[in-house]
Formats: sequence, C-alpha cells, structure tokens
Amino acid sequence: MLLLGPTGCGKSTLALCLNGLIPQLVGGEMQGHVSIRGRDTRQTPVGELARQVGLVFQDPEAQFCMLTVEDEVAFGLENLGIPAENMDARIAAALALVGLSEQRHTRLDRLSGGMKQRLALAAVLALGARILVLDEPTSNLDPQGTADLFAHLATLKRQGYTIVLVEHKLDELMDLGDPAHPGQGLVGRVVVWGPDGRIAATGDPHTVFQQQAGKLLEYGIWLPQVTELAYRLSRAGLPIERFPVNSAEAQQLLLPFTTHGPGTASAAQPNPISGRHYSIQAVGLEYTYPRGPEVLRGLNLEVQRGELLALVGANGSGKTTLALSLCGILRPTHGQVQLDGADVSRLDGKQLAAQIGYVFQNPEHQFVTASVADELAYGLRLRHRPEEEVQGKVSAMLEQFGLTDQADVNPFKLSQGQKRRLSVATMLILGQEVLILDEPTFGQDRSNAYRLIDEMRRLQQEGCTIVFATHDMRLVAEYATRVAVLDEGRIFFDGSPQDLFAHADALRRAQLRAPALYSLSRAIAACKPTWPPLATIDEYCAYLGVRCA
Amino acid sequence: MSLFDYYEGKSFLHDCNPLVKLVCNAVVLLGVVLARDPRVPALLIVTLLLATWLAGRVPLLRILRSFAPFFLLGAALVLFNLLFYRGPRAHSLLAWGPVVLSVEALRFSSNVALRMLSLISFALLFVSTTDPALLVLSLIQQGHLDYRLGYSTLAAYRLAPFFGTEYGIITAAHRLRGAADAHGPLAVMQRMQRYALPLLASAVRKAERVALAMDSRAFRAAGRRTYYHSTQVSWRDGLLLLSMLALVVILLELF
Repeated sequence: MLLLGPTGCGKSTLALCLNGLIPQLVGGEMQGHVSIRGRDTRQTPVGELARQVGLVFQDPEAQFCMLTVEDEVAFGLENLGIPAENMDARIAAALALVGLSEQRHTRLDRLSGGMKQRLALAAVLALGARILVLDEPTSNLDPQGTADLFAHLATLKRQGYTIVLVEHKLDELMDLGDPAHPGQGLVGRVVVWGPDGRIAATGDPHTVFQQQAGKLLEYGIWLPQVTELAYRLSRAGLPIERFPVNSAEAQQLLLPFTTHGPGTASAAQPNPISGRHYSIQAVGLEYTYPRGPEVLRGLNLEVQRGELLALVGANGSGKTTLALSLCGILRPTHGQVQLDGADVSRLDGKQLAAQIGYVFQNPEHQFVTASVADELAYGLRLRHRPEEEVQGKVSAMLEQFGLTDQADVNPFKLSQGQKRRLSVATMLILGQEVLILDEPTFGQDRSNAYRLIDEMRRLQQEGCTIVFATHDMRLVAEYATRVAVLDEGRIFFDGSPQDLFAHADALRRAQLRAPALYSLSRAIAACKPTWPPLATIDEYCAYLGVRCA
Repeated sequence: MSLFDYYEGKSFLHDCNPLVKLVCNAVVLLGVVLARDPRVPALLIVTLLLATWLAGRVPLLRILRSFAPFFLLGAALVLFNLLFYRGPRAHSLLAWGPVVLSVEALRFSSNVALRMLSLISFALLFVSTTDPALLVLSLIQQGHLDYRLGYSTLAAYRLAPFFGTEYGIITAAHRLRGAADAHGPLAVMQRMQRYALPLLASAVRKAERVALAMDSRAFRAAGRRTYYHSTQVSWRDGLLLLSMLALVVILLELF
C-alpha cells in the first residue's frame, strides 16, 4: 500500500501510531484506535507490537545505536529477550532477505545509505514483523540505492509481507511489477491524504490516479510522470480514456498517436548563453579531506554566465565537495577556482557573500537571526545600507517568496518549504549573480519544489548563473541547460541533458537512470522509429502538437 | 578519524574484558600516585606502550604518532616547571643570569610530566584495544550498569562524529552569509551563540529519531533482556590484572 500526501499532512505521525509508540510512549492526544491483527495498539505492549509491525525511518543516519551490522540486528532480538543461541539463525535469515549477508560483520559507518536502509529493514524483519511500514525510506538515496531497496520490497511482498510505504519516487515504484500476479503492479492500493490531514482518495492506483489526478496536483503531491503526462495531454484535448500508471501502459497509450506538430523533436531548452563569458572557472581541482579520502582528482569545470548547470553523480561522488569548493568554503588541496576572473581563495567572507549565494541542504544551517525579516535584512545591514533601502528590499523579497505573513516569525519555526524559500531569499537579496544549491528539492513536496525551481529559472533568465547538485533526473530534464556528471572525483560527462540520457555508459557509471519520460520515448521508438527522444512533458506536448497549460 | 581511537584487531588485549582493563587503570593510577621517584612513571610508560604494541598488536608507528603530541606537551610541562620552580634548590645544575636550574627542580618537573604521560599511556592502551560496544556490554553485564543508560550512551557515541561534521557545515554557512568575519572576544561569543541554535536543533532532532527507532524495536519493552555477545571474565583477565599489579608493586619496591 502506498501512502501519499503533501509535506506536513501527518504521514510520519500515522507510522508511529501503527506500532503503538503513539500513544504509548510519545505524548499527545489520540482519538480513535488502531488495531493490528485484531489487537488494539493502545493496550498491546510495544514489545508485542514490535513482533508484528516494523518501522523503517527516513534518515539512514539516525536509526541505529550499535556499531556493526550484526549487532544492530541483534539489538531488537535482545530487547525481546530471545535466547542468544537462537539469534544467530534469525540474524542470518533477516540479512539474507535484504541482501546484506556478506556485510554481516561490517561496521555501520562503512555502509552506503542504501545499505543502511536495507539494514534497518533487516533489523525489523528479524523480530518477525510481517507488516513493514516505511516512511520515505529513499529520500536520502541515489537512484541505484533506491532501485535496490524497491527490488527487495518487491521480493518481500511476494513472500506475503504487508508493506505500507510513504514515498514520492513514484516512477521507479510504479514500474515494478508483482511477479506473483502478472499484469499487476507492486502497489496494490494508494491512499492519498489531503493537506487537512484527512483521507482524500483511496483505491487501486488506476482508480486514484485516473480520477484524482487534478486534485493530487493541486495538493502538491507527486504523480508518476507518465500519469501526469497523460493528464496534461487529455486536458489539452487529446482523447485519453484511461491514464497510465507505469511506463508499459503509457507506451500502449501513446503508440497509436501520430504527431501533429513539427516533425522533429523540439530541441531541449533554448540556451540563453550570452557570449563566452565565464562565471566560474575551476582548474585542476583536487581535494582530499584531512586524513580522509581524496574526493576531487584534478577536476576542470567552466560555467558560463546565464547557465543553469546540474551536477549529478552517485552518493559520495564529490558533488557537495565540488559545490563547496566552487564558492570558496573549502580550500582545494590543489588547483584554483575563479569567480568572474577573481581567485576565490583571496576573497574574504563579505566579498564572497556579495558575489555568490549558496543554499545548503539543510536551510537551518544558514539562519543567523531571530526573525524572518531580520534574516533577510542581515546581509544588507552588514553592509551599512540605508535603512529605507533595507526595508524596501526586505518587503519586496517577502512578497516575492510568499513569506509576508511570516515576517516576524523565528526562522526555526517555519515549515520545511518556507525555510527553504527563506534560505534562497536571503541568498539573493544582495543581488548575487551566482547561486549554488545543494539538493534544492530534497524532501520537498511537489508544490514547494516547483515554486523553488521556477524561481531559479526566472533568475537564470535574468542572467544569473545557477549550479545545483541533485539526484532528481526529472529536474535535470526540465530545467538544466547543461549537466555535468561526477565520477571518481572528475567530470565524466559534460553536455546537454538529452545527450546524457542517451549516454548509457555515463548513466551507469554514475549510478543514474534516465528520467521516466525519456525511457518511455525510447521504448516507443523501438516500435515506431519516427519517435524522437523526448524527456519532458513540454516536449511531448510540442511533439504531439498540443498546447499544454 | 583520530589516531587516539579504537584499533580494530585481534590480540591478547583486545580479548580482555574492558571492565578488567578499567580496574587495571585504577592500579596504574594508584602506582603513579604512590610513586616518589620519576623512574616509576617512566618505566610504566615504556611498559604500557610496549604492551600496546606487543600484546595489543597495534602498529608501533600508530602508537608513536598518537603519543607524540602528548610527549611534546609533557616536554613543555617540564620546561615550564623548571623555569617557575619555587621549591628548595640545594644542587644547582646550571646558572645563567637569573635562571637557575637545580636537580630538585628537574626532579619535580619531570615527575609531574611523567605522571601525566603514564596515565595517557594507559588511556592509549585502553582506547586502542577496546571496542566501545564491548565496553558498554561489560559495563552492563559485569558492572551492573543500567542497560538503558548503557545503550543510550552507545547511541550517542555513534552520533558524535556527526556533530563534528554538522559544526563544520554551520560555520561554513555562516561564513557565506558574511557573519563570521568580525574579530574580538565579543564577536566570537556572539558567533558561538549563533552556532548553538542550529546545532542544538539538529542534535535534538537526531536524538529524537534514534530514540524512536530504538523504541520501535522494543527497547525497554520486555522485562528481561538477553545479550547476543556476552563478555566474560577469563584467565586472560586474571593474568592481565596480576601482571599489572606485579609491575606496579615491583616498581614501587625498587625505587
């Protein structure tokens, strides 16, 4: 079962209700009741429930308390008072279920994020849980880690486990078939929550996505891209009866359509690159963490003014390190970064801040004052700008980023989406021409993500240079004018998104996957060679000759 | 990754019970306190470092490298005490203007430094050869520590490096806002105050998440807890304790 809902609707709270932590250990008030196999979670001891229901949380770093894989799985068994001699077999069985048998004696800090999430799964499987509740388990994972976790979930479902999944990476998920029931997807039922915390729709994926697509988009919930495509095409007037929920269905749906538009694909994005002016130039960058690994190895990268460059690569490939080096926060061990022709290592904090903005993954990190308005005014006041100018700019920014009502609120009290918008706004108020963002859409629901990206696009069109690190290939397809793939500390590929998607080797090396719509167009082209490669909804609309809103 | 850290391996010392090693620490401490002659802590240092190498199979280079900064600290301590010694000076070694170095001053200052270093040596032996998880286990199983406290400590230990990273990110983030350029004690204090909130916020959040994850796996739920690994007290521990006692007694007798 798949649970969908906008940020803050209470999905994580529900997860805690399912294993009795709410109301038994976590404070608060709960009305109504939950029963697991006929037993009320309010009365059944948490220890008993742990044998039935297993929870896997979002953050792979913060759900363990031991130091090795084996000990971590043993931890729950110890809590239940299982005799030590019976543990060995149960640990082995649980690790085998998630494909971690070989890592049994590995220390946790040497596991990748994807492995950690599978370990969290093994730790609850060992307790005998037949009901698995996963709360956005893949949001910290790269595409490969995500695919591995989903594949193991599919196997578990086949073995009769009940799975409740809160997730927004729907493309990968909906494409997974249920091997036991051919023609049926892994997801049997979808439950959608509205922003008010009530259930807005429930049913099998077809019913929900078919009947509620518009409502879901309005709530800011991610849809499978193929469904969204069909929805937009049908809104534009194409006769589509039944929205597809996975690639195979979308392929069947689109095959009969012939193009009404221009015979060739509308080439990706127009590249508004002005001249040959370099905004950022990195030459021979090397970076080695103190007593740690060498992350960048002689990397060269040039970013022209007005580009929207995406940095992609597997977890740990050096995206964040590169981003931090570009703006002078990390001093490269070798090599040089030039910002508008000036060596960044020679700029002090104030000068840097005037030229370049950097939005961290966690927006809280950059907050320095106690109210939203002060936060925005901070950089200006630091430069002793006249107070009228400060007030004017601040209120304009508040307006632009939809934060006017929150002007006096403490930044730490904002919602996730608001925090993110505030951190971008504070980074722009000085009029910086270069903006670097680390995973800007991480953990955001659809409406927050798009609000932010549209803002980025607007800035780029005004002439700003924007670099962002991401795992989200849809974002790359829709927005990036150029994409650079990092692998082993170097740029392995540098070109347009379209070229990257066609470059299977680069995708594999960087553990990436082409976006769902691109793969779809290639699958169609296999039957109908006239289909060009298309990667975004807009490109499909243009090719099919319809105007999409 | 610090050098003064657990060194994964198999050896006599790795197999000893952590709690017994802690008791040995007390023995060394007692020896150091009772010693009147600087040769006692000096020989203790040599023996302990050799033991870490031979009985703990920690590479000699690693031992020396982790010990070196403390050695320098010790040397600085000696120098400082030599210069500012205010006790009786019967036997002058060297007189140079107002600076007089005496045998008494040398004895006193080296005594202070060597005592400190011998305790550091044992800490090095202990930390290099003791798996933190086993330490907690033996504290719970043999030391009768409340297991809830023990496991919470272990969970916190696991998160420790995270705070280091987090602190680094926050300072960088504030620097980019232009908020870190001011100098002087007041600016530093204000800066610390600004770092504290995001650091605390993420610490509380992480801790809360770990606690929920532990509770979801029935932590504190069942009446009796079992242990997958049990730490035992074996002949090794007897041998270790006896030899440590013997060493200290012999050294104290000799000097």
